[in-house]
Amino acid sequence: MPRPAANLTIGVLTGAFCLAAGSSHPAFAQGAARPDFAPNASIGWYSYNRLFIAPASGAGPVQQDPAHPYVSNDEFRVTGKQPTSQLADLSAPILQPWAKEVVRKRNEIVLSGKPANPPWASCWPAGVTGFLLRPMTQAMYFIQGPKEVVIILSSKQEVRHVHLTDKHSANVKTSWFGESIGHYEGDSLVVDTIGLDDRTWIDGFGTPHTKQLHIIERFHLIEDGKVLEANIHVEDPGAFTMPWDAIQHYRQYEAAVRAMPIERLAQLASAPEGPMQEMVCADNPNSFLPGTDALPPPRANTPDF
Amino acid sequence: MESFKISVRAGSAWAALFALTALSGSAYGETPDISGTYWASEYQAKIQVLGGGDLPLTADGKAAYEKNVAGLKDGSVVDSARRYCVPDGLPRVLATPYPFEIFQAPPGQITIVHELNHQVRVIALDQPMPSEKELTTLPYYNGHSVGHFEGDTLVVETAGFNEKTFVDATGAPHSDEMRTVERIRRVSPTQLEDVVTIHDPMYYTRDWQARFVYALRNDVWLDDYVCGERHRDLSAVAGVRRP
Repeated sequence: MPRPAANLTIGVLTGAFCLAAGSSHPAFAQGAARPDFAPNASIGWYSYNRLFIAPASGAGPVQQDPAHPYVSNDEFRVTGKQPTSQLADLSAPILQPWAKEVVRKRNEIVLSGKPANPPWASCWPAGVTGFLLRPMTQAMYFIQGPKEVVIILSSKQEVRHVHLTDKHSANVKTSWFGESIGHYEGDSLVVDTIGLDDRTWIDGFGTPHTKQLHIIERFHLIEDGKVLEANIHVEDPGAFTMPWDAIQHYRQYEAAVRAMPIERLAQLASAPEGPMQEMVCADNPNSFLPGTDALPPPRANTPDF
Repeated sequence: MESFKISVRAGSAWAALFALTALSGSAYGETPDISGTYWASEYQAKIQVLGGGDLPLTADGKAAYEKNVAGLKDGSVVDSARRYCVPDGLPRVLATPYPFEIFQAPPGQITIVHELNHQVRVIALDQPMPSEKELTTLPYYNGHSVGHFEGDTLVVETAGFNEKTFVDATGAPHSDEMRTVERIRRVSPTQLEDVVTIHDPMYYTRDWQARFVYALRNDVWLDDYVCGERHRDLSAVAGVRRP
């Protein structure tokens, strides 16, 4: 019978049109296959390691002077061992002479018994590589939108924007975090960053860089989804003698504390797992590291608007 | 004949149901898409009460407002949001002359990322408000937010504010008992509206609303924001006074 069939056809066609119109809907976008670093709002990533991991082979990051092993504050809280500062191994082959001199001067401050504070200690941005070393006591969160991935350090509401596009802007202005573009490649999020100004520290050793810094990061899950690995490739012909690679590993809270070889977990300074909390660096702007070489926290002497 | 009539009704009923889904986005529980980059085209330092008139201040509210105004003038009260770039709080952040982004991610959360002071608002979807104990133990600049969709509108309830922020740039006050409800929705394919209701009986004699409208600007990439540094050109935002 033709009429019921015609009505059914109209119904199906209308439905198909509506489904097609709704295909930019978030549910459809999220259904596309891509690595998922935030399957729910409570997934935050902790590194428990303030030092980059060297690659299996090839040029790697500046490392701790083996004569002065590094003991973090968290390790002290549990073992009672005297915490130590980061002190660079100046034999690092990647450092050009001027960069080595900058690191040496910082080492001298540390050896004289004073703290050598990175800019991020007084609320200045960590830059890209510094950002990757930060999430120890407070987690790093991924916000994966269809056209952009935002990576947030909860400890200071530090935000990195990664635009899912294949070309950098024609004229990139330098900035603290540079311009990051990215794409998904198989199981990885690959991020390419240029346009970093030269005020950030590459790491906790104070390793400097120039505006030629170019960083490629590859984020992917390993060990059955339990570990987030960041493979970092760094080029800066103005500061380094050669490109070098580094690795950082992150775990979710429970797994991160289990991976630490310590006994009294309750002593850790970490925030528990859960959705991102609001933490504001300049909450008490008068408390920052008086009597040290720390930069004063950023402040506006006249209102921005 | 009987079976033909039933078939016709069934066919048009299915068509109508599909059409409803597309229009409202929620007939089958699908959430509307309010994600994107948004940027207001006008800025007002003094919050405008919806319906007109002055802020309906209680006596305590008036006293607090006068104290803030006098203090901001003589320097004894610091506008921390502008001096140290701590978060603006609600509803002040809704007046931001800088762009912001709404992400409907991760699952179970709406995340609002502001260029201004790189402040981030986390809205837990379909969750109960945290307990009074949690709200008073850990108050936030921008409060603790929970939200849910009602048709095309994201309804956001926020409580647990600290007392370090103003309602607007003139220093209008709020207490730590303030609660807000925002109704956020697309009012056109290129505009988002946020109507916020302020409930703060300590300082206001009644609940009152303000309305903010933003243009959808997915051509804009948010910049870094570091306190005291030069930021983007705001000359396209009417009402911004650049000192």
